[in-house]
Amino acid sequence: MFDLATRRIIGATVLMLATVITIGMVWLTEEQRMARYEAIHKGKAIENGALLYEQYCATCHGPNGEGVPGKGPDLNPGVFQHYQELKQTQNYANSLRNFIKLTIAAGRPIRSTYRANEVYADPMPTWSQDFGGPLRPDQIENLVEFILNWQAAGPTPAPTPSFEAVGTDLTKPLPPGDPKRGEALWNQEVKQASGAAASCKACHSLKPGEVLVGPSLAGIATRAAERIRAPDYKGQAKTPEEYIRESIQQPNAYIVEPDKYAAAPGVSKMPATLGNQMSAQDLADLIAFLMTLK
Amino acid sequence: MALRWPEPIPTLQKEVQQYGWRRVIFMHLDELVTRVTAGIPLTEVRNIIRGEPPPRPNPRVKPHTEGFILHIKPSFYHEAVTRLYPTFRLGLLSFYLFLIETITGIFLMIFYTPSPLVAYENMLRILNNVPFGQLMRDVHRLGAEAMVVAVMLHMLRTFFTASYKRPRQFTWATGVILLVFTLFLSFSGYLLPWDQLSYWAVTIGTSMAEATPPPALGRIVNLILRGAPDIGAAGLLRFYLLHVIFLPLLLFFVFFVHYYKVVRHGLSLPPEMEAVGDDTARKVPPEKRVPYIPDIAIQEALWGIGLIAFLVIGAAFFYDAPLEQHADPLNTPLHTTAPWYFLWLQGLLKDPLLLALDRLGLPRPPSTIYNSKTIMGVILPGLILFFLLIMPYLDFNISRRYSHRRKALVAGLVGVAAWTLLTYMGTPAFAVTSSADVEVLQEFMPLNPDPLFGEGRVRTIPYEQLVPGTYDTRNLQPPADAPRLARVLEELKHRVETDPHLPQGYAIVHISEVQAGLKRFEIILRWLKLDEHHQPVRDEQGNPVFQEAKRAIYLHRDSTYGGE
Repeated sequence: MFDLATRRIIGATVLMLATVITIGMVWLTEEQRMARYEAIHKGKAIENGALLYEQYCATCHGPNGEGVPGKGPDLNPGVFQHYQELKQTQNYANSLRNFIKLTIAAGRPIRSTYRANEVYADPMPTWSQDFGGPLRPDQIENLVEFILNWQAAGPTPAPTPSFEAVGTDLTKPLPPGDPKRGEALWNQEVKQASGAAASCKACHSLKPGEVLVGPSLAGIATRAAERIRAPDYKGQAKTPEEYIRESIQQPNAYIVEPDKYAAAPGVSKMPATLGNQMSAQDLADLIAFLMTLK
Repeated sequence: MALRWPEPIPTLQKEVQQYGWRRVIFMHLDELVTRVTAGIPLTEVRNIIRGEPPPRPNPRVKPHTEGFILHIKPSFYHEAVTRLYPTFRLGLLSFYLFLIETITGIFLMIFYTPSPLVAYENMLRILNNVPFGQLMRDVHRLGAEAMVVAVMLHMLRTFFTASYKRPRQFTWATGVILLVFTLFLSFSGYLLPWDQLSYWAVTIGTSMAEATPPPALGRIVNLILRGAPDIGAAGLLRFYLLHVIFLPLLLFFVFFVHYYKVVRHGLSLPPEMEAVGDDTARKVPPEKRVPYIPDIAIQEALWGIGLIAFLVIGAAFFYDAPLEQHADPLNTPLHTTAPWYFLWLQGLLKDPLLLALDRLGLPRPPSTIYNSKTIMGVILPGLILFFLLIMPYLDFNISRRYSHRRKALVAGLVGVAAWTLLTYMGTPAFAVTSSADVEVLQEFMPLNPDPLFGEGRVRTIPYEQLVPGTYDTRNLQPPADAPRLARVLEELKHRVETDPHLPQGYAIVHISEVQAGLKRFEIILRWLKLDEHHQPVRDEQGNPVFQEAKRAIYLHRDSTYGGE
């Protein structure tokens, strides 16, 4: 129908038109595409942040940001509440994003005013490579996205089980303890009455001589019997069971090797609030378990 | 005496009075077109469009003598080389691709800083916040791959049509250098996105540098290339400078040497058209001449249009340049590969010689005298390259006829087959062994996209179908309204139960919602622990002991995999 040259020119014209139409289509949809990509990459950042949180943060702040007694405060909703508090009481001027980012990157060099009545074994370390930590800037950003996503989801009210906590009261009579359940509590296979897992093993090892934060509890039953007879012992306990009970409910009553295990003079690194998580049964079971460690 | 203009000075007004305004407009337009085209007047442009033959003397050759750009191009071609065979336009396409890469590359450079601190963030910005950023990046990447293909095919066709023979030996040698530059240009660009894919591909690609003998030299070569023992900020900057300045300048220079030689000797005719030993490319009889303007120029423009259409349409609808997670020097992906054009090197590094010795049951040579990395990674590729460079000077067969070159053609085909085989050997599909549990986890949810398994099957499940719960492959009860989840769980069950290395294997899958729009997907694999006699290991109570492996990933509602 057409000669070769004409066919070529028609073909090239069609291709040129197709190219122009393609570029036009890209142009028209570019705004939506960029918005979609932004959402995709934010989603991926949250996924990465979740993995990093599981790897680096969950041991102290809990897998769901609920906090670990004695190790780290809750982040959800703690971090958001703390930020509001700082804004209202101290005229804190930075954004929430930067507040979180700075706290992760540079750590907490001094004790925060948040949850001031609770004792944590160690301060928040620095995480950014800029400050000698292990994480790259993009990883810090991913963590921030993940933590902010708790707020995006709205506060998740944690169900508070109603139970009678033993607190710091040493006089309350305890029911008979079950060492098997005590061991399960230790291993976090069953939860305490508060619904949270017992955090003992975060700081105490069962291997002889291994110091995580606090001393190893290997052979604690035997040692407890020696402690109450020691000349410098100032507590109330008369039996090994009572000594262990006192240590859990009132860690400041007697601090072994204060230069190693005291956070401040007279204040043990071990939190004094552990009793708030436990029912009398939990405490009795834990003591029964610890008494098996001869 | 002062120089004076002749009177009266011609003015536009006087011209119009003398010739009339129509003629004056034509005269000035004619002048403009003649200057812009470096010598073709307007009437001749009309003749060209009408397809009329040129007058004598031919004004259409003026741009070749007057113009800078066309000066290097021949004013006519032999009719026999204007068809698809024998050139396939591969040289022209390579040159076009170089131009397209330059233009798209400069666009990308605007938004890019070569620092590990921001390079990846810049990539996200190009994709998320720069209009046409993704298209430009995809065209650049697709063009880079196409350029490697075009240059490789160009070399193959030159070999198979025997166009490298006397007097074109030097043209071939410069072509081999251009191929090497093209490979390194593409490879140096590979690192710049600073994602896991680029970081580890380049780590593998440069791992041979250190094996350059002797060891003292190897250390220096490695340091010069990477800027440090491992790739980091210094390495990225070096690769960036190689990619955007050094290699393009070198390539441009060698290209002109190459093309000058091509024109100087003429495009070689199809082998069967010449008497054995003759080279008649420069002696084109008048009736065989096809003028560059307009015929060849139009052809070349058409090829350019076709190429741009291929790249733009391909990049817009069919191809997305990959971008994986941020580079992490502490986390090596399970199946890491070099770029496809260096897979043959990776295949060589798996050392076919040692594998053959193992297969034959012969002892391996001691590593003090036979170091795979040095011999297979540096010396052998160096020898291959050297051989390619000097190959035309060693070819004493003067005939270009296919029937006279049987040995050469067979050798060429064997070379292509060996390259293909080595490329296959370079992929993780060949001789990469990790434990069975790791392979299963990699297949279903790799931490980085895998060359074999992509993003893994778990990520193909739509977010809504990730129904929270615990699923045990020994007693699988997937929810009814999640067909894709059910299918992946069935595949997992089948995979775990049929793997001979996972005796009595089963898997437990936990899906939980950890935040709004974020779910955690965990796979726990358990299988029987066997002792060295393949008997189950038993604990104190006599119960069989199971081994366990687990991995968890998080999936967000908005992040899509595979499709985007």
